[in-house]
Amino acid sequence: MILSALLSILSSPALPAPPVAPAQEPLTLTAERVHLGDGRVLEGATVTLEGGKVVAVTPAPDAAATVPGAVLTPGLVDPYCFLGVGAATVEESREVTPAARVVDGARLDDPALANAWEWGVTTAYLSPDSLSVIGGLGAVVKTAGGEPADLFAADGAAMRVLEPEAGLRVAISVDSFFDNFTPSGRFTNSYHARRPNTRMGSVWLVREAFYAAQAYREARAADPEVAEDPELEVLVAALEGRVPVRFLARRAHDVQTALRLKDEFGWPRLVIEEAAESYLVPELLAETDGVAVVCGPLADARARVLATGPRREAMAEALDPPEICCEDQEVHDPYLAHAEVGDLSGTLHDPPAFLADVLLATLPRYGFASGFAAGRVREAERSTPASPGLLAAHGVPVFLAAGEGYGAADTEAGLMAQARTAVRWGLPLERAVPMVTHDAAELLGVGDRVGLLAPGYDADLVLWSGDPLDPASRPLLVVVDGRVVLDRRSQD
Amino acid sequence: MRPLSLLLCSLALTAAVPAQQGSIAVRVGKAFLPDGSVVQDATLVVRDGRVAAFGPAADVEVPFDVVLHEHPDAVLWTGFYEAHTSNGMDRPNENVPIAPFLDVKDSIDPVSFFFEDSLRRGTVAMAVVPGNDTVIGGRGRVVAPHGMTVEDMTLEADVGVKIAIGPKRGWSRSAQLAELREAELELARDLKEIGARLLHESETRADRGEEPDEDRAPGGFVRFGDDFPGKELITEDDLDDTQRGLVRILNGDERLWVWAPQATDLVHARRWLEDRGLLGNSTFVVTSAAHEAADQLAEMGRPVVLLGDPWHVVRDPVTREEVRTFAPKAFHEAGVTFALTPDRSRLGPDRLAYQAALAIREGVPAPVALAAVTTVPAAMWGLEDRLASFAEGADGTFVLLDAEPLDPVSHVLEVWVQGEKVYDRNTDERLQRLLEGRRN
Repeated sequence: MILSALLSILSSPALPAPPVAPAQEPLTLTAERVHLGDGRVLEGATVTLEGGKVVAVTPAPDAAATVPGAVLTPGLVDPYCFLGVGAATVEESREVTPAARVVDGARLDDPALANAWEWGVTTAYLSPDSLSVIGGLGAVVKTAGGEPADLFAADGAAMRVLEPEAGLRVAISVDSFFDNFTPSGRFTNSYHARRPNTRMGSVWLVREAFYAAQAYREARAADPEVAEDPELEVLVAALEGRVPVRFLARRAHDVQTALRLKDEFGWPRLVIEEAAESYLVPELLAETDGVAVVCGPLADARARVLATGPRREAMAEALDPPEICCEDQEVHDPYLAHAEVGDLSGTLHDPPAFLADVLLATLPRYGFASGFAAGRVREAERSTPASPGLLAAHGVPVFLAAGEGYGAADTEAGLMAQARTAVRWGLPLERAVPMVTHDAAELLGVGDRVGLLAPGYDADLVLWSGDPLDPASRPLLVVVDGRVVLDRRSQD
Repeated sequence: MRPLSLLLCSLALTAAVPAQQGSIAVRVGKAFLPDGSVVQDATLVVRDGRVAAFGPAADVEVPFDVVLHEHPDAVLWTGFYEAHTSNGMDRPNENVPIAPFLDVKDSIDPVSFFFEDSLRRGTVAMAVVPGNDTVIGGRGRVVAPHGMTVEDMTLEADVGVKIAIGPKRGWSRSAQLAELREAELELARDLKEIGARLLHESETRADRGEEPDEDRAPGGFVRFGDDFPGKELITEDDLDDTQRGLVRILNGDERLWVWAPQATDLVHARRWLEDRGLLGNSTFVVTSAAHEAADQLAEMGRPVVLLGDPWHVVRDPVTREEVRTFAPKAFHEAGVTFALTPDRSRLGPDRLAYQAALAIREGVPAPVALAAVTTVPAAMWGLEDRLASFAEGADGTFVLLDAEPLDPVSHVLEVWVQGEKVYDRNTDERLQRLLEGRRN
């Protein structure tokens, strides 16, 4: 009886159906300057959106602007970030989990999404965390318009998955092994009592996995009866270039390792992530086909480490608080404050200051990923905000990303803030907007539908109150798939 | 013989045209002023470290003995001013909580990277004040980020004393206020004892028919609080360093930097300062959370230094929604005068130019945002006639940029302090290393 009542409730036609997205009115926007996304800029144009697509972009130099002084760009595309991805979205029990998909663990209605589209980001690549050597598959999403929005959340406050398997995360840097330890002398009932403990070990795990994939591919080719292995299928897809290998390599020698592995296994598509030191090996990157570099979040680590003397002290004290009183407590070494940059990394004498500064420079404030924080502390000390400009000057395909920069309070760490910093540090101005729109979309394999204001493309765009690279500008209107997710026009 | 005569000749020539120390004239394509106004084709003449003339090039005559530098593509700017910082010292706080006897003079490190980096960002003066991890922290001073000694750097040797109402690290609010009260009570007890002793000595002297000690300075150093026997006899020399510093503060002789980071601290601070008649001497040092007491601040009518990040973000305990408030806008709307400071934890906001641009973006009028990084700090230090101005007689301190100061891609080309060139981008080795991506 109860059961049948329950069943009747569950199947009751009176239950409201999931709301259907409202029919979208055609939207026409006119701006005095329109960045198309591929480098072309129209001085005065009208963009018409209908049915979630751009239907026309018409030069209209004399038409009245929707908002005087405003600038139109395509929705921004962030090729490396962690929206909805917390520290727990990598499967740590094993170091090699190629088939784990970030999209299955990401919080699709993460409140941080609003921080992303509020700053104009409409498409993003969500990366798995870096705590594993082969951490799994990243996804390409739209930052609004997803299913959970219709079911649970406020309109638009959920991401829509475009491509759930858009990149294979490989990390050989310290992130992947910093919490592993050798079993001897310590308790061993932890899965962290394991290999790798070094870069050598990490690289060996990568090799081992891809050797297995090569053997599997040959075996399957020879004998179709060989059972399908979903994990090895992912690695085969990477070998064949259907999925790019996304390789975390902050240090220059990790970049060299990545290129060596690319050469060894013939990865057709390789993306270097968090490329803090790639600027040191630009020739190597420029002469290799099929490799792209994603810089960011940008940090001025060398200057910052040296810039904040008192903070070094504060952190040193916090870690090792002096007792109240007494002259003999004086341990500060004034010469240390001016030590050469090279001496600041990783010596036992110095890490507190270094920790403090890089942590403060790079730690996200919102849902942070522990692996990155730990890794950056150790590995980003030679980064320069000039990296994107330097790599671009060498002809290296270079991109910008905000990483965890969509924390609630991190209003100045989003993608356009990265572009602003890159331009300030030497990236040619005309490269900036394409780099964060159509070029990034191409990198993510969605360049045929987002990142460009052209007929047939998704209706993703941002109307900025002024030059998008000006810190005094902000988005007035953000449209994702033809739907207005942010409208501040009446406020300005 | 010939080389020697040439040498003598050149020495004679050098002597005949003495270098005009601190004198310079610059003619620029554009001058940008702290009120947001622009003067096209402007000339600034600095003589002996002071502004001698400024205006459109056609109206300014350059004296014959002042070298004119022409920068038709550059923008002339007064430079940025950092209202309050505890950087540039070996450490910002002493470990004793009541330390009014300290002076940052003894702690400022002239070769600190902080000062070098400030020049690179176009900051031409800052008040270095003891840190906030204290109760009474010591004396600050205004310095230019250039010079090999603290004396060379100093623009104003006394810019007031730090007093913290917000708690020291690891302390509770009640412990903080209790420490302050205890210091006052102890002082009152000590002063009474000293007064009684001095009174006794003077009476003994009179009983013996001796003349008063002529070497003694006249008393009356203690001017606050209730009367007690012998109060009027106390001189500065009768007190130790802590007592002397506390008396100066309570007398109202000191400008005060009052660390009151949150709204609740401001309420305590207001009570404490008003009870002692010290509100008029105070500048509040706050975080963005203090916007919740913006109305209180407006009633008090005292200026505010906003430290670091201007955004205040809280998560609503019920709805779990994030509520973001841009504190400078709240201050401006309440009528509070404020200064902005860099947020050194992030690239971009670590420059004052960025903080001002951000304020404009969030709805603060441009002249107010510009004032918050120029004229407001100068006024807080009582140096409004000297700094952040090209008026005649002001310090000949200026910055040359390649674009307007708030332009996101503007760079500092040169910095001049009191007519001396102290920074040149072309010879900035550290910046070049970062820009060129050199391996070492």
